[in-house]
Amino acid sequence: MTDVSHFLLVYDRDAGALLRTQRYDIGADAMRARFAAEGEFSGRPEIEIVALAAESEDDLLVTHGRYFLSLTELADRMR
Amino acid sequence: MRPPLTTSQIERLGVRLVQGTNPTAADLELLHEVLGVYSEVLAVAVERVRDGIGISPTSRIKNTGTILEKLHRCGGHWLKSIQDLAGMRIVVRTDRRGQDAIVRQLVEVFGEDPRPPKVIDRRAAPVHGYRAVHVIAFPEGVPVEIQVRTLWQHEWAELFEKLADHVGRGIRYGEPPERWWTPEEFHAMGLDAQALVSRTYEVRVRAIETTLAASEVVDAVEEHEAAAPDDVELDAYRGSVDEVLTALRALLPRL
Repeated sequence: MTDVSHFLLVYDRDAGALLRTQRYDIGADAMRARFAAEGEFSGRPEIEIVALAAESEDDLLVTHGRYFLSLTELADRMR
Repeated sequence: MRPPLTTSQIERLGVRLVQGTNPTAADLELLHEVLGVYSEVLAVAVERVRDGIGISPTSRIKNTGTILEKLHRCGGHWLKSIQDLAGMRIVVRTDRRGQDAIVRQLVEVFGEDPRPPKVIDRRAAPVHGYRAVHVIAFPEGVPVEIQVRTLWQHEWAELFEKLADHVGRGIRYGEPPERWWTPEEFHAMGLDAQALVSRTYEVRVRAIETTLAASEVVDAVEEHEAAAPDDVELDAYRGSVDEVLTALRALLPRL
């Protein structure tokens, strides 16, 4: 197995901003944390809770930039 | 590795999840068990991609909120046939010929599985502006969606998704932007306030139209780029994408 990190992101769609980022070495831990966060933010449909796996946070910034960048930054990124 | 539920049990779970206002704790627990199995299959599939073609995709199990949103939109029965509960994403930094090459390699990597991979070309059949090629592989019988996008296709998709966060997620399904007032509230407003919300709403409509236009321009340029990579006019064509984006950037502060 190669080095993969697992990230729990808690993202507020209305604010367009991340509320929480946590890194895990083991995917099952990230999934457990995800389910716990879903309970914590239950009844808040604007909160998106996602567990992602990637080699690095830089990779995530490329493939899931929506969680990290503003609308203007995403528009500027596309050239 | 087998899913903890049969197909018909998953179907019934999907139906129950969208009955009433909130899913029960027991049904959410069952859904989490299914997602846990998908997560294990996905991790192995990611390794196969990495070993097979030397690319390290990012991966995710679809978040529960989006699953429930889609079940409400498509009906609970949809859960049994959902193909993107487990997903990977690959962003290709070449043109469409490179994208096609990666797709062929992925089909080869998963080609020996009992159920062969399926290729969905959303460049030919875009969904509300979204273009990409998806490979649906079936490791251990579990569907895993691998999104293969060029950089432009990807950056457009993220831009549109973020725009949806601002103006209403229904735009991803071709719906108009959400209104943030009721007809009663509108009639109770003064004329200046009515004009202001109407103008802002119109800006949102134009921002969506302009973003969708950007997808069309990207498509045309990418197609030409793949067909005539040595065309000296390519830089000028690429500039046409930026022209549309410049128009969009001017709208964003007014959303």
